[in-house]
Amino acid sequence: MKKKSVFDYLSIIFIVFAFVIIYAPIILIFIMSFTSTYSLSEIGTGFTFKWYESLFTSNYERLSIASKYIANIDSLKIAILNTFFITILSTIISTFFGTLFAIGIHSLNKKKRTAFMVLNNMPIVNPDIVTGFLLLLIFVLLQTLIGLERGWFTVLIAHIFFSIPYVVLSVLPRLNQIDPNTYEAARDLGCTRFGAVFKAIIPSITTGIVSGAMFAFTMSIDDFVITMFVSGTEFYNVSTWIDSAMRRGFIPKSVYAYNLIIFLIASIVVQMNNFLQTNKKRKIEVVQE
Amino acid sequence: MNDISQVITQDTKRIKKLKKTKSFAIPYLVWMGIFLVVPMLILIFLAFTTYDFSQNSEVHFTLSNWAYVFNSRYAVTVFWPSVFRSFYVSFIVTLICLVIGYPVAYLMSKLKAKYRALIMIFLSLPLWCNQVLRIISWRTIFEILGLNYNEFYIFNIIVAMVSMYLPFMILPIYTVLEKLDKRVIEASYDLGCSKIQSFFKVTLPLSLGGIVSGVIMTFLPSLTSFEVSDAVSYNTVLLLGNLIHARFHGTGGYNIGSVFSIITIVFTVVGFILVLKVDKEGETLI
Repeated sequence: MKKKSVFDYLSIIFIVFAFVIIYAPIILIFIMSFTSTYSLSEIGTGFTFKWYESLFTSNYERLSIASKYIANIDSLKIAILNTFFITILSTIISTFFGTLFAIGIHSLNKKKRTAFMVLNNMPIVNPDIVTGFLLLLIFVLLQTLIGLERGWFTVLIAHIFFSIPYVVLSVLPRLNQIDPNTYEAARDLGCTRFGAVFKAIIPSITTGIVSGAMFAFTMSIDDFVITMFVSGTEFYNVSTWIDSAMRRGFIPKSVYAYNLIIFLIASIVVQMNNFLQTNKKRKIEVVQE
Repeated sequence: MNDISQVITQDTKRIKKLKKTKSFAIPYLVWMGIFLVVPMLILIFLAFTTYDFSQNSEVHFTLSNWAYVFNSRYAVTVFWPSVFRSFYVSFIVTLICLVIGYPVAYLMSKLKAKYRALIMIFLSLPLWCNQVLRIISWRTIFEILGLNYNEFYIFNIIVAMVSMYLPFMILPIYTVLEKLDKRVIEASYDLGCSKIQSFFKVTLPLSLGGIVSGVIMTFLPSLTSFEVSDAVSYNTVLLLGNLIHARFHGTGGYNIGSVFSIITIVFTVVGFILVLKVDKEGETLI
């Protein structure tokens, strides 16, 4: 066994520091979601589940939540449904098109491919505030031209727009790994163009597609800046709703509860995905041996 | 002979026909044209005119928007101080993230695959926690710790930003370090490098791509963030992002907002070129 050097201890300190600074707000959200009072000096006392319950009931009396909060919680529920609606739709659409675009980009020659990748990566590197402002401008133009009102539709388009580049980036490396003759073989055997893509290419790049979809989902469910720019005045997702609540000066505790539920579900899904993938890898290794 | 060459040309024609998946890329070009190129043109148009969409006013080309931003009372009292503050804050945030992030990424890459996956999960999970709520939680933490926002605003903003953007520094560096061929480092030992020499002569230069991506992915968001300073300082501290955000509500604000956006895009393009130099396929961006 090697002796631990100063360097090793220093590195442990760095890791601990990184985790503390990243996780401190999450731990606070955890505590807040179970605390019944709003006063900061009493934080951690008065354990309660009522903020969780308030998300799943419309009968607030039993929870003794003051009437002025109830309108808040109701509008939060609408924002939550909006978020799910936008996130699920944009994930499906951007995964589908992102995969097709990636297949298209992959079959281009090197020069064109690089040009496409520059275009593809631009929205990723662009700060959200600029992407949001650019999308707002095109939607304002469309409003004057064809009367398109800002609302759920513009938010959906915006989410698809910023999700597709991530899908493309996740799928492309997988495409580089598959045999370039697969597609041609499928065409030779009588597949149509789309048939060959769906029967020959897609099955061999599923891991890339899944990770692309995960990216799209993660980006969409948590998006704040771009949604705020393009959503108009009536449509809220959870992030813009929290922001407007903050600007009004009151943040209901139910939103902490909602956030923790999402966080826990995500942890489980990510863990499971990880578990499945390592299992798969092990199986492949066993087969290869 | 003739027959064979005919067969070959037929064959190449057939193969060319088969490679038709190229056409899948064309709609993407159209899509990007509508939502990326056209808005850029509108942006430039608005920055050099006083045109207002809501009033459909007449188009007058002018430099007054630029003069207002760079050379007016507003520039002296608001714009330049905000820009300097923004650069100061994001420079420090990036520096802290790099100083903490590089060692963490480096150590992660040395761990066993099982632990690496675990730490990866722990780094990506915070993305699932709503960012606005995380920022608000920092405000609460500062209140509990007694870090008053009047006195400690810069410190508070920096801490909250480091917390938000640290994973974006660690992940690209880690991606590069993980792929680094271990034999190269062994070779450097064989050639007589000490551990420290090997790190500075081999590992560090080879991980430059990740560092550049990480720096850009930390620096640009912290330069343009508005929600952190809004929440943590109760709308009292203005950064570059706040200026853009404010323009988007006011009347006729789109013209000035466009000027701000063009300034931001210039910084972005510089960053983007740097990333392209070290990473052509954008592997370190995700």
